Amino acid sequence: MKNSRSSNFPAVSNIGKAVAWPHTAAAVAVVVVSMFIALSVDPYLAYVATSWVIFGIVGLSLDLVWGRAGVLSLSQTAFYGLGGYAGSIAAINFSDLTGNTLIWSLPVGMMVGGVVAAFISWIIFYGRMGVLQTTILTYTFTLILWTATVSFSTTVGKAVVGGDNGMSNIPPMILGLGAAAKPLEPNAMLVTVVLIAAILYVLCKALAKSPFGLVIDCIRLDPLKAELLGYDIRRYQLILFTIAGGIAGLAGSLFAGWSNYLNPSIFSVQEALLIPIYVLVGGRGTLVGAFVGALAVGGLSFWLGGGAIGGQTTLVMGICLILLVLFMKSGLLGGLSQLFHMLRLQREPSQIQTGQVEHRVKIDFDLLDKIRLHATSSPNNVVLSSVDALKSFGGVTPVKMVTQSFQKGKVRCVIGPNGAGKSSYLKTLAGTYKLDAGQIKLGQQVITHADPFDRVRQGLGIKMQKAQVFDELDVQTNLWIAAYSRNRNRSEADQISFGMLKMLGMDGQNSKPASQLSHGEQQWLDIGMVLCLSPDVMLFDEPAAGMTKDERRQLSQLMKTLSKSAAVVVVEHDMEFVRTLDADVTVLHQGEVFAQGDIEILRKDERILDIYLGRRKHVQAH
Amino acid sequence: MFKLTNATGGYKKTTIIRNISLAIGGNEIVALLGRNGAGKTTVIKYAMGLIDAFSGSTSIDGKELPVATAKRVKSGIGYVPQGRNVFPRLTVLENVAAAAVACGHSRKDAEERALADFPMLRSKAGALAGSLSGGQQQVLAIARALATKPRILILDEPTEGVQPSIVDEIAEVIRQLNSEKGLAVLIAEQDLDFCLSLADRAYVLDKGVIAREATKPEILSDKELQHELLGV
Repeated sequence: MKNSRSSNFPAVSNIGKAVAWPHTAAAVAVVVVSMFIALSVDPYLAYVATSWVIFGIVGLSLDLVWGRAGVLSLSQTAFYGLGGYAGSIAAINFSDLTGNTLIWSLPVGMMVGGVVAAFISWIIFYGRMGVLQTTILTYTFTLILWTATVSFSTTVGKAVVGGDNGMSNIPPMILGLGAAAKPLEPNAMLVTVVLIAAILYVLCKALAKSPFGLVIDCIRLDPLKAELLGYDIRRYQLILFTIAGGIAGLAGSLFAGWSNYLNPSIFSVQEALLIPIYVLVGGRGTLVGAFVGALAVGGLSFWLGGGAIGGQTTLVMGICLILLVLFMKSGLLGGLSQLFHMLRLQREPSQIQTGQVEHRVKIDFDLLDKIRLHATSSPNNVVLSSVDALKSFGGVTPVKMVTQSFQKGKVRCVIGPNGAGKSSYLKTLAGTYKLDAGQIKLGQQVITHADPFDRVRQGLGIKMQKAQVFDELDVQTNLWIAAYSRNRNRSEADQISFGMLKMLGMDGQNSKPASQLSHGEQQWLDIGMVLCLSPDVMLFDEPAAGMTKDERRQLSQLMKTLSKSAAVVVVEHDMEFVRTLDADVTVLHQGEVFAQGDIEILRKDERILDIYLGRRKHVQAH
Repeated sequence: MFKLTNATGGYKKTTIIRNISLAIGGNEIVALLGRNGAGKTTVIKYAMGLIDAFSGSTSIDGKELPVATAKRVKSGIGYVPQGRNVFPRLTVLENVAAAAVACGHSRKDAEERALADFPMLRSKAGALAGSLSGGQQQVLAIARALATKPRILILDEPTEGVQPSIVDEIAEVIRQLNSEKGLAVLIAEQDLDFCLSLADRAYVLDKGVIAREATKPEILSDKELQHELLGV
């Protein structure tokens, strides 16, 4: 069992490592068997099945961006079509030189698909568009291409792009070299395409398992948190989208070599919507599901097209799809894996565990020092400051001309009534809210207009009011991805995340999904993630919420320890906790600095009692 | 009398709470205490039918409650979830009305009662709930739960993220509802002061089971219990 409760686990993890051996072996076995089948089936079936595998490759490209990054792109067929056209133009013009067509069509198709995808994704992600906008924009792009290609005619060398008439005379797939090289027979063609698909799949799987893939998972689960860990999510999304576009383009040039003919219908709505269907049918996010889906849909329609069930292909396919969406929400593969899981549990009912693992936080000074070692330390004592910071939303101004500076040495608490603008102020400091006026400086650097990830890289860390953890990922991976952000060094991330896991007292819960943690545990995990970044300035919005008094004491101790080497800003409502922090206190009220000073003096201020503290009548009563 | 009998439940295949039995009388205020991750929220979710129940039952006055959460609310459990979960795009009054109408009660009565019980909401009656401050949202969540006319009100961490003066007001309202209208209340809380200012007795959870049942004086005098089980 993966879950280990022992405390002496090795300080090396498998996080961010490439595909495990059993997995690769299974993939190789499947490919060998498929090739064996491919060689022995009827040539006509082999010919048709080749197209299913090609659709599977397009599906794979969609699953990368949709299943892994959570962005439904309806332009995968656009990249596919463009790759097809471009690859074919190259093959028509240059294949005479080598005899081989694929060495021209595949790279060109892939490159064109990738470049166009890069451009589209640059607009989408650097324009910070939402998920829905992305789907609409990619759909529109495909439709524009459809309309444009219908009336677009041109001649490129020997290749004729004939608008609505399409492009014919595309050379078939030829693997051999020289003038005598022959086009592939259907069975050999299927084998070739299966092999290419297998290579692409293994590469994609390795990508998904790599730190890059892990960051992509984080972006899907919580883009804001991924950014607050210092990852430039736009860049990651652009790279992924480009890779996916390249894969789609390559599939397009394979398709052109298979059909020897292309026309604008490749950019049609039907084509665009078929791809998400393949992915859904097979199982979104699994990568291999795209092939399963394409084979299932293609196979079923082939069988029905042969006259089974009275030739009612569309009707039966539609009903199957509805049933699948209703009863197998995670696709064929998801359904199978659930079934497998259920059977295994029936055999091993003892796997059920009761209760939760108790954890106690133990501050590890050595670890904190070790993390600090690589941190970029500010030479100046004033590490973060805001001057006349102003932020407004319509008629509401949650941050009004706030001027503050935060230093190392002593914790700073920000208190004030609910709605006083405390969280909004922290958000302007972290960059998730951009200032309307005023200035923010981190060290000597003006960061007023810097993006959140940039601020984090320059030494700022924030824990938002609501604990932000990547809930599908396990506890250790959550910490690992934070630690990895610092120096992009795997073994260092391994060590820091293991150390932090221990310090948080969560070493018994390392492989538990973060979603299963209690609220207070999620708070600790989030705090641990911020610590893994070892920022010069740490902003904590209500860190003690959901914690027991014992834990609050630990937290208070931790905050005081951290404040020796970093500026620590804490927003809290728990006055007892604030008092233990021995902090300078800033009171915000209606977006402005209302008072500032020592908590004991502020506690006696009648105005603050009225607007904020109240008089704890209920406690005095008992 | 609200009862949980031998409640065992969790998420998917993981059992988190086991054999939880508790009873809350008609006009009692009872606290549910325990360290982080002891299973307080899970017990409440079990009572609301929000997690997988492996065995056991939930009943009011000896009558077992239906499985569906919505039906449980109609049967008389009012629930204020951790993190409040107000409907951010509805106004304050619409939040209250939605709860009342869903349970077949008069919208007008519910709105009037909410504003009478919680004067703080009057100036915000037409504002979107999402624009309210955390403390105000907490008060709204309680008002909304009361609009379902519950016989027992279950509160999960009602003071979290709420400014001290509003915590005072919430305590006052709960006490009033309990003494004047005989509303039974179950509170899960980390803030022991708040909890014990309201409750007379408590169930203490530890690792998914009830480790102790204790009265207020017992808890206050038992330092070991406070330290070991409550993390005070």
